Amino acid sequence: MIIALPIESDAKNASVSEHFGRSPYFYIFNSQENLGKIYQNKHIEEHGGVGVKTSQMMLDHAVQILISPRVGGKSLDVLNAGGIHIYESVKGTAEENIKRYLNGQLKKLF
Amino acid sequence: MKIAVLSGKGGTGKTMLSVNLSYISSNAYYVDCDVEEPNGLLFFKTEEIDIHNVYNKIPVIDHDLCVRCRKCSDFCQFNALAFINGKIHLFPDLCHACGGCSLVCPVDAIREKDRILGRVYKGSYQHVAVLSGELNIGEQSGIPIIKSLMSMVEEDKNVVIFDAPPGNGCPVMETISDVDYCVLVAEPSVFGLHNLKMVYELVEVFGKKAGIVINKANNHAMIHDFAKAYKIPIIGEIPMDKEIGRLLSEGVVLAENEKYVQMFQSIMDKIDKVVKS
Repeated sequence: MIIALPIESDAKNASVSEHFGRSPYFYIFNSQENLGKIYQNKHIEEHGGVGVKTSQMMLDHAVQILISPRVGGKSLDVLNAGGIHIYESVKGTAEENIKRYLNGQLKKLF
Repeated sequence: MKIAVLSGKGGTGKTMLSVNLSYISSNAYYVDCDVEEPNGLLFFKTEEIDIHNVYNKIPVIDHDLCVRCRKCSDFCQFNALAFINGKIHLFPDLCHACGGCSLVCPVDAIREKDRILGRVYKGSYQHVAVLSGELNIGEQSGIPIIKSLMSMVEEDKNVVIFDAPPGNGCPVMETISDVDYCVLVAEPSVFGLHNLKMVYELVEVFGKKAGIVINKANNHAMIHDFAKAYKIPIIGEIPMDKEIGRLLSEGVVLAENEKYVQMFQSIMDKIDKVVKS
């Protein structure tokens, strides 16, 4: 299972971002390998359609589960078409949110 | 003679002034360039209107020809193309119709088709030729509609009045790009003065001749101070007046009443003098 979360910085214990499309970093976790990596979002300075590009980044990393406080309309179109399930994050770090997801404690958004 | 009427702040009186300046001219176009919220037709109630759609080009992808190289989606600066499950998807409202995707496609899998952006209207009100346009709700840019309006202005009239959109963004630049004179309508409020400064900066960048008309003139020393400091001529004042307010709310063209003609004529005469000098 590949799980992605928008995070506020490239630190290991970074909190989940308040936004999806313009989140500066993403934490992408592979549960089979128990391995997480941090990726920079190179699209945040772009003028429009950032959600589309960020969602594209999720698809390119073969993400299956996205944990985020919210997503915009165009992002949702891409994520839905790509079959990515979206769960609502709670305040805290990426690790805490992944743990909650694996324990079935997060609400499914879409 | 081409004149643009702008203000920065909305609700300052651009349409009121544009409508009346075109009405007092014997042979004029009135062009409503505020295609996001056109309201010139509230005054110029044209009976017969020609309506034409305005289109832009959006890409159509032939998925059988597509080799999934993603050159098009990488190229798109507006992020209108995404590669989902091995297929290119288009987000039409993000597309700026630049045509770049079809140029970079190595296998000619992208052609373009027309998409309706909005409409333009052509009619007349007594002796005034009236052009107006309307952008569809949700569209990103009204520039193609404004360009279309510009192309409908023929050389058959000696005065063209462009009623500009509010603000100082791209649609306003498009509106003033080809004019001989800019009328800056100012309202004596802090907000009005702030936005007057903004449009004046724009007019300076474009190197246009300009003058200020103070509307709802009452306690308007602040506009005079600004005009003096920047050496911008004040070419007219329209008083804060209940009767004028009432007539406007009923969609009356003020200059149809003899007593208001001189107020607008003196503005026109000053513009005419500066443009011809």
